[in-house]
Amino acid sequence: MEAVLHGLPAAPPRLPGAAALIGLAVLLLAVVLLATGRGAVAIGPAQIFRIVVHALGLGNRTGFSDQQWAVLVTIRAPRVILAVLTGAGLALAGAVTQGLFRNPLADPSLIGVSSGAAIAAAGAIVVGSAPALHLVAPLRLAVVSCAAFTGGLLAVLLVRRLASREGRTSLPAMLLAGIAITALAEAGIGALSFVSNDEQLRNITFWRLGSLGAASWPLLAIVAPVVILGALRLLRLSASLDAYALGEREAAHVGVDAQRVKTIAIIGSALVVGALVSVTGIIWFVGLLAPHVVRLLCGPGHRLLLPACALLGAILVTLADLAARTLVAPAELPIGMLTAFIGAPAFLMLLRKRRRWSE
Amino acid sequence: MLTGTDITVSVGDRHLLQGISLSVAPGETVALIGENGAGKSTLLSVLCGDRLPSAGSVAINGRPLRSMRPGERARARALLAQEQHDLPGYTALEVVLIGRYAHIACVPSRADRDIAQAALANVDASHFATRLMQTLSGGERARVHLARTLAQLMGADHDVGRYLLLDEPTASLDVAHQHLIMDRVRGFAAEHRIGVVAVLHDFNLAARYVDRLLCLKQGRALALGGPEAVLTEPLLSDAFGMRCTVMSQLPGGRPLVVVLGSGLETV
Repeated sequence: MEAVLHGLPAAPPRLPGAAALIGLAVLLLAVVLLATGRGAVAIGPAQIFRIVVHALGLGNRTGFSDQQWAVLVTIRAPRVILAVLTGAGLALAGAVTQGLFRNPLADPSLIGVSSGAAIAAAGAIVVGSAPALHLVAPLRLAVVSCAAFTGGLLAVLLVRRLASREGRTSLPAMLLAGIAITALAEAGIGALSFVSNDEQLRNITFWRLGSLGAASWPLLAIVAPVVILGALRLLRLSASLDAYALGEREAAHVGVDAQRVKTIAIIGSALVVGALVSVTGIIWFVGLLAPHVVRLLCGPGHRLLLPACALLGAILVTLADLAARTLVAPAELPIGMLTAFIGAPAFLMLLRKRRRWSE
Repeated sequence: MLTGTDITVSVGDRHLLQGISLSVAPGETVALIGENGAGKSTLLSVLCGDRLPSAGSVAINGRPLRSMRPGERARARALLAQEQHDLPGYTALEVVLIGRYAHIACVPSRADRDIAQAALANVDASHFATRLMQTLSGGERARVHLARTLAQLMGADHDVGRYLLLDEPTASLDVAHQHLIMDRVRGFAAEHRIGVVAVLHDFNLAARYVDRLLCLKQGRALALGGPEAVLTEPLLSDAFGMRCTVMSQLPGGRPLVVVLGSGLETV
């Protein structure tokens, strides 16, 4: 009643949890069908259904052309699956990092994953294309990916080590160490750019702009298990992250094993983001935008926030990749550029809308 | 029993606490008093396990605090800190449910929600259970966090001693709510057999609602005992360096402290 008297809503209208998750899942399915169907070879939803049924060993090979079959199975499906994994992983890791650091601006790139991956990838591009090595193109790509994954993980472990004393990690110190390591990595990338030739420089630049063009089944076989297992572990942190909203010390008071949660959240996010970044390059803003949208729609509780973020992130990246490969076809736009182009203005609009509730 | 034995905390060559011993029984309420910097919050942080003492030990129900896992600790003791972080976007009820963390396996049960509602009712906060934290006043937020610490200890076996550590629980409350909250905390302690240690600055609030007081000065215990024994003119002027008079022949038998001046005023 008091709320009515003061003209304040009890709380801003929130979507009920189940409705939000089901709505996002349905939307994701629609977006996946759209992205799978669009491109140089069009494939209708019914045809997609028939092809999938046939690929699973059921149903006849009818109702679609051989070309549609080949395009879907060898090109579109792995690419769309990679887009879904990338969006879900980046958004989930973003939400977890923000919850852990109690900072809506936090992002796994803040603790060194992206910059560590970027400098290692740049190094691999420069060294891997050295004529003396005679590496064939696919092998070069594999070397770059492995280097990026290792580099991202090593950077996070280094940041964590620098911010730990007597077995306890200080989160504020991690942020500062992350910024310093990022600056150092940027300097390193600058040095590598300086010594690289034109082709290497172009590769470094494009790697940093992101692309899902490398998607293939063998690649997914390596990346998907890391991302899925990591994401499932991160999802189980929801109650601990709610407690972290009270502050780290207070979280320990209500029974959170703070050091353990920090380790799982940091290493888990680094694994997920590292595995994705190593094959896609850097994709901006998904880890920041998705959690903000979901918080606005569903509130800050992590039990709903984390799975909803994963779904929304998957939707955003699948759409962004669809735009990246169809807008200027047959050429391709860098997806990392697109997500930032669309994400940043959307984020700014959200910020203005959000202020209404806090005033 | 919550037992602190011979607790000493030193930082460099400064002693924040020196040889403090305190035992709190289930159902008992103890106030910590003393001037700013006397070591009250430091003692609370040692008793709750945040800070390891340089010497001495803390045990809950006979078990060393150090050997207890975070979840076990959380079910045995709860702490209300002096200051709370903002929790934008969370409703009051959601914040209280966070207090049930150590009891919830996966999703809060019906029983957890009932406990959270009961805890809010206990601090006269039911009517803003669904409001967002950032729309509440400072005093209302303080009551929500108190409810969170109550909820943390509720719904457990009454035979197991549990302890509530409160750092200035009444600091941001209006006078009526100061008395309401202290009355409810004391009732809660008696009903659930929970021992309470509360840092209080108001002698008369302490005199009315607690069983014993521990008065600290520069990290040492000046006195430990009932209100009549501790709230005396010589002891208060020693502990706080102020001028006061204590009226003891009042209805209810509790002393009343009237402060006459800080003792530092420029005459």
